[in-house]
Parts: sequence; structure tokens; C-alpha cells
Amino acid sequence: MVDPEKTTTRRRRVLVAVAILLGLFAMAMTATPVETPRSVDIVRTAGFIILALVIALRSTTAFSFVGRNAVLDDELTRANRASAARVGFWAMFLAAMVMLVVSFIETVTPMQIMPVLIGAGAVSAALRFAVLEGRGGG
Amino acid sequence: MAEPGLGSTLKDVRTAAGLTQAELAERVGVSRKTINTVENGVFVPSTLLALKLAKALKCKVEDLFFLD
Repeated sequence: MVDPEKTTTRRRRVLVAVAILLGLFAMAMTATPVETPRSVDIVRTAGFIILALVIALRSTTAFSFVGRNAVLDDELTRANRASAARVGFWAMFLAAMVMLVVSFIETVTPMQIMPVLIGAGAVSAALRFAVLEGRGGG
Repeated sequence: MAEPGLGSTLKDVRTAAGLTQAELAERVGVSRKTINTVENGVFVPSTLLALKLAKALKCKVEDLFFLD
């Protein structure tokens, strides 16, 4: 039988680890923009998109690869997800504002901007969810 | 004037009923963490959860929660 305590702790840890990975991924993509896309760049971009999608879905919805568990998706978890979605939205909004200002100073391509926006939204939502899920553990 | 918060006697009622957080959580179908955060005033439960808690503890919702 699934132990909800252990599962939520594991879910939180995995989410933080994957969010950090996505953040690093986003930074790498922004720092080394692609000029003429090669197969490796397409694979890298696809990997980034899939990772970002999984993080966003896991942080803000009840999406699961292995089916739902009512205890792991209870009222508190749903409230935490709603809060994470709000934080993700604002982080993405602010990142977009920053990139708009940066575009006046320096030429930035969509391939540099998008990872920042997606990364900011997904990573902040994931971290917010992880922090909220950590409450009430003791 | 500040809006009143939600006070809770859930912990007292639960311990008086001889239940652990995990046992109460199982009865109402939520995680133990949810019970913990409700008891500590971190999370304000929905009407549905408040009613479930009251039913599980065989008391009224008013016995568990009050305006602080």
C-alpha cells in the first residue's frame, strides 16, 4: 500500500531536483542561443519543453503518470497547487517584463527569451508547491 | 478593523476522542499533513472538510471552529 507521507516527501524532493535541473537547462539555452538549428538543438529544445511541461503539470494540477490517489490529492494539496499556479503566473509575467526591458538594451532572440519565461514560471511554481507541501510535516 | 481569523479546538477534541492525526486523517480521507495544518491554523478547511471532521469526531462544526 502507498504511504502518503513518504510519497508526498518523495514527490516534493523530486520536484525540487527537477526544477533546479530545468533552471540550469533554461540558463544554458539562454546563454548559448542557437543560430542555425541542428538535430542536437531540436532534441535539446524538445527535452526542455517536456521537462517544463511535466514540472508545470505536477506543480499545478493533479496530473499523474500512475493514477490518482485521493489522499495525495486532498484539499490542502489542491490549495497548494492553486497557490503555486498563482506564483508561477506572476513569475512568468515579471520575467516577461524584464525581458522586454532587456530587449531595448540588447538584441535577444525568441530562443533566448522563451526558456527564461518558461523556466521562471515552471521553476517558481514547482518551488512554491514544494515549500507549501513541506508545511505540516512535523 | 482586522478580519477575524478561524480559531480551532480540533486538536483538543481529537485528543479527547483518543485519536491520532493519522487516524483522524484516515477517517475523513485526507493526509495527516492536512489535519496538522488545520490544527495549527495554517490551512482553513472548506465547509465540506469541516463537516467531515465534525462527523468523524461526533460533534458539531461549531465545537471545532470559531471566529478568532
